Amino acid sequence: MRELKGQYDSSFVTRYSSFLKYALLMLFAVFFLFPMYWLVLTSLKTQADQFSMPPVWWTKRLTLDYYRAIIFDSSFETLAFNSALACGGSALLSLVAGTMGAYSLSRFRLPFRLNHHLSLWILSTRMFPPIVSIVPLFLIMRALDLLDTRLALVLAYSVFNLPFVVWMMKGFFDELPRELEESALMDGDTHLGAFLRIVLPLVAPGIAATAIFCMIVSWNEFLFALILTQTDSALTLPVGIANQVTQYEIRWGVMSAAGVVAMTPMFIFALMVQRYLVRGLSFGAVKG
Amino acid sequence: MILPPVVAGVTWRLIYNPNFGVLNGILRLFGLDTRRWTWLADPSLALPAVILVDVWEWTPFVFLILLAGLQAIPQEPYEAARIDGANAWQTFFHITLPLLIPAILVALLLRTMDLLRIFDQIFILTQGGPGFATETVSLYIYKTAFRFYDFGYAAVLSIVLLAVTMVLCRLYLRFLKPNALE
Repeated sequence: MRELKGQYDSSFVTRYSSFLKYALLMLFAVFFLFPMYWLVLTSLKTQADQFSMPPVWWTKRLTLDYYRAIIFDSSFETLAFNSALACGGSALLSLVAGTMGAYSLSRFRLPFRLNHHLSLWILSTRMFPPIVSIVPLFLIMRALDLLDTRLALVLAYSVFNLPFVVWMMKGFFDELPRELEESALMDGDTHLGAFLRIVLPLVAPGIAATAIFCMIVSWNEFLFALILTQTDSALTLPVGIANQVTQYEIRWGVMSAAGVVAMTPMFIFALMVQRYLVRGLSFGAVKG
Repeated sequence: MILPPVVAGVTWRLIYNPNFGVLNGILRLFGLDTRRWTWLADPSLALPAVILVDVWEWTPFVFLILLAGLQAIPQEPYEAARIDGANAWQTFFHITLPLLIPAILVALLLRTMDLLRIFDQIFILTQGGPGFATETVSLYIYKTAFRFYDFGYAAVLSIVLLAVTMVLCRLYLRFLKPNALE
């Protein structure tokens, strides 16, 4: 009976339903990819084509004028430099501190179940809404006279990068067999020596992935940059773009070109950490 | 997912633009009169429009979490089900879905926490407008502190938001198996 049903399925119904399946998948793919295509296309269109209705779906009249405009715009360069410095600086700072913190959390047993509590506390920062920290953060930076400086951004980004580094690296250290260091300790190495010479080289891919995630998050970060910076001396790229968009709705070519430039490095980074993508984005919650 | 939220906002402003936006362009292909639909400027359409942007940006992330969950399900229950003669729907509802619940809960937890603090995209798309149609808690706190300079009230709002976040987080974690997050 059942076998008969199976044969019947494979003739007509299956072909029909597989067509439906692919049609549905195509629809989803278009929905998710089209906006990106549209952004890139807009950045390459001439102004007349940008504003035409019905829209120009595809055109051969492409121009690189908008890219030329932002590349020769010294303000854009400053903003990109600020962004790069803030995300590189905070990644470095939180990696140095976070890797060591994660190692001790992974290897040493602290009293009063502190390992457990500290781990949960670190994990809870993923749930912490950044907006609740902007008032104190702003007041602290003002008291320290750090408003509108790149140092303020580096420090602020390290605040949310550090727990992320600790949590990610703790996962990588936990996966490493303890015997490796034990043999180094037996041979008379210190804990620090074993950490630097044996453990660190083995988790190097994990460190690289974690660093890249830190940079993705800080590069994309918007809220802290919005409240902590005002002028070209510290403004980051996202805030610069946002200011343009919300004030002059007209310069779409430049805006979309700037958007493409801002997202390209992130796509390259994402390709580099493809293997750890889910793990990083879910704060280590999913080890896919 | 790794797209800067600001860039996502710019992209969708481009799409939603009532005069030359591509969304109204597509609707026109179907012969609809699009002059009434101003999307982000319409109090009743702005919120669904903003929600769609978030769905667009974060569905791939949920997809990846669920995919990781699916790949972790062992083959044996499926073999048993096939021997017992279960059809595809029964297999899905009685095996796949129950075994996928931890992954679904993780996705739900992360997305809830992200949405409680949503700020960037809405700031770019509508700044909370028109009126208060798309104003979220985060935007309200931001405006209280940095438009009206009422730091005290903003701090109170922050603490309430933090309390709500913590309660929700604990609720979710109670449903999760003790080690599902580690």
